[in-house]
Amino acid sequence: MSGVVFAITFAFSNLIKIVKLGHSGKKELNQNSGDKSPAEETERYKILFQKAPLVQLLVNPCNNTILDANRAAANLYGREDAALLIGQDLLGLHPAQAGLMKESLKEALRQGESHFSFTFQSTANGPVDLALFAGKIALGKNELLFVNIQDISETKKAERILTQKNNELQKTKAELDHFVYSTSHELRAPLVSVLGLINLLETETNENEHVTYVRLMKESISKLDLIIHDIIDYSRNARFEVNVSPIDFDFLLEKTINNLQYLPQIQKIDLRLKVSNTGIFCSDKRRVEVILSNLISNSLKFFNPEADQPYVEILVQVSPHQAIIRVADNGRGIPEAHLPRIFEMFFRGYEQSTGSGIGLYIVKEIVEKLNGHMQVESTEGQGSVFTVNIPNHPQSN
Amino acid sequence: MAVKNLLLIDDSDIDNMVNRKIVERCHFAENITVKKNARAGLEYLNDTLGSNPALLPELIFLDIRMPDMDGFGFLEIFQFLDPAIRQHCKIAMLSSSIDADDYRRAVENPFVISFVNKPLSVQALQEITR
Repeated sequence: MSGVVFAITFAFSNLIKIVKLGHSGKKELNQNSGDKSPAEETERYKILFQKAPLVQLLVNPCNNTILDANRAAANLYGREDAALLIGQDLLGLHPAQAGLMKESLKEALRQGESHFSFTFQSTANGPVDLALFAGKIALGKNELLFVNIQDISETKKAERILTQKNNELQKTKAELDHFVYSTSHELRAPLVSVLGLINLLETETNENEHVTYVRLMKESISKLDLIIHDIIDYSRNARFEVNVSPIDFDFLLEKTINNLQYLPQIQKIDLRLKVSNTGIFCSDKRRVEVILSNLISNSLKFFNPEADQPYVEILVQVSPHQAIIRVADNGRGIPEAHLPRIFEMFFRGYEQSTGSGIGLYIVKEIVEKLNGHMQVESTEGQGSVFTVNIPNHPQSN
Repeated sequence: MAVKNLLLIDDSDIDNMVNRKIVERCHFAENITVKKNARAGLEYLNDTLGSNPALLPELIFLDIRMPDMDGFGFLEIFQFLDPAIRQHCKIAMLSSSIDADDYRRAVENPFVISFVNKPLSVQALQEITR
C-alpha cells in the first residue's frame, strides 16, 4: 500500500518539476488531504487547465475576446504558445462560423450553456470536425464564458462509415429477401407439377397415360435442374473473385454452341460467327462463357419461325482496351413495355419461354462485376441486338 | 357438376393438364377453358360476354406467377370489367406460392373466394364447393 502511495507521490512531484512550478513537491503533496495554500490551489487548477487535451478557453462575453487559453487551444489555432491567443477575438479565429458561434455564445449567456458542432480548417491538420461547448460562469461580479472545443473527427468518420455500411446492408438485405422470395417460388413451381403428376399417376387406370406422366415429370425435373444451375451461376458470380486469363473466343464460342445443341431449333437457324482479334484478350473465362451462353441461347430460343431466314449473328471484336461482343438476331424481338424489365431477376416475357428468367439478370450482374457495360436494342417482330463491352484486363502475374 | 363453366388461367402446360384431369375425374365442371396468360384470360371474359354470356365461367382458377401480367395484375384489371362479369365470375387463386404476403393480398381481394395451393387435389375441389 505504502509503495503505491509513494509511486503516485513520485509521479506528481515529477509532473510539477516538469511544468517548472518551483515547488519541491513532496512535502506539500503529502499533506494533500489537509489544507493547501491558495497559491498552490491556483497552481493545481492551472495545471488541470493547461494540460487537458480538450481545447479550453475563457472568454469575455462583452467582446468575445479570449481571456485565457490552454495548450490544446494553441495547437488547434497553430500558435507557439497559448499566451499568444490572449486578447484575440474568438469569432475572428472562426471566420466561417462567426455568425453561428456568436449566436451560440449569446445563448450560453442567456441559458447557462450551449453547444454546436462544425467543420474547421485547422492550419496543422486540414479540415477537422469540432464540437463546441460554451458555459456561463460567475467570477466575482463578472460573468464569463468558458468554452470547450473537442475534436470529433474520428467519431464523425466512424459515424459516416457506419451509415454507409448500414445503407449497404439494408440494400443487401432487400436483395436477399427478394432473392429468397423469388427462388422459393421458382423452385416450387416445377416441384408441385411433379407432385400433381404423381397424384394423377397413382389413380390413373389407363396404363397408356403412365408414360406421358413420367415424361412430363422428367421435363419438370429438368426445368428445376436448369433453375438450380442458373442460381449457381448467379452465386458463383457474387462469391468468387474475378479470375483473369487469356481468352480464345473461337474456342469459347465453339464450346458454347456445342452445349446448346440440345435446342431443337438450332437446326433451323443460320449461325454466323465472326471473331476479329488484334491481340490477346484477358478476362474471366468462366464469366465470359456464361455471358455468351445466355445471350446466344436467348437468341436461339426466341427465334421467329415466320422469318424468311432465321439467323443469329455473333460478332466478337478484340482490341487492346476491350472486347465487344455483339449478338444480333431477326427473332421475335422484345415488346417495348418489357424492355425496362428484362434484367430483373426471374422476369419472363413469354409463357412459351422455357428458361428460368434469371439469365439476363446473371448477364447484367457479371458484366457489372467485370466493369463492362451492355446495351440492348430491340424491335418487336424484327429482332434484338445485345452488345456487351468488357475491358481487356491486364494479366495479373 | 359443381360448376357449368370453368376457366383455368396458367402459363404451365403441365399444370393445366394436371388441373384438367383432376377436374374431369371429379366431374367438377361441364366445360373447361384454358388460357395461358392473364391478358388472354381477360380478353376471353370480355369476348364471351359479348358473344355468348351463358358461357361465362362461374369459377376461374388463377395462377399468380405468370410471365408478362401476373395474377395480381389480372385482379387489378378484373375489378374494372363489366359488372355482369364481376358478379358472375368467382375467382380461386391456384398457385404454388406459400408466401404469406401472396396469401394475404389474394384473400383481401373481394373477388377471390379461395386460395388453393398446387397441386390441385380432389379434396381441394370439394372444399371450394362447400
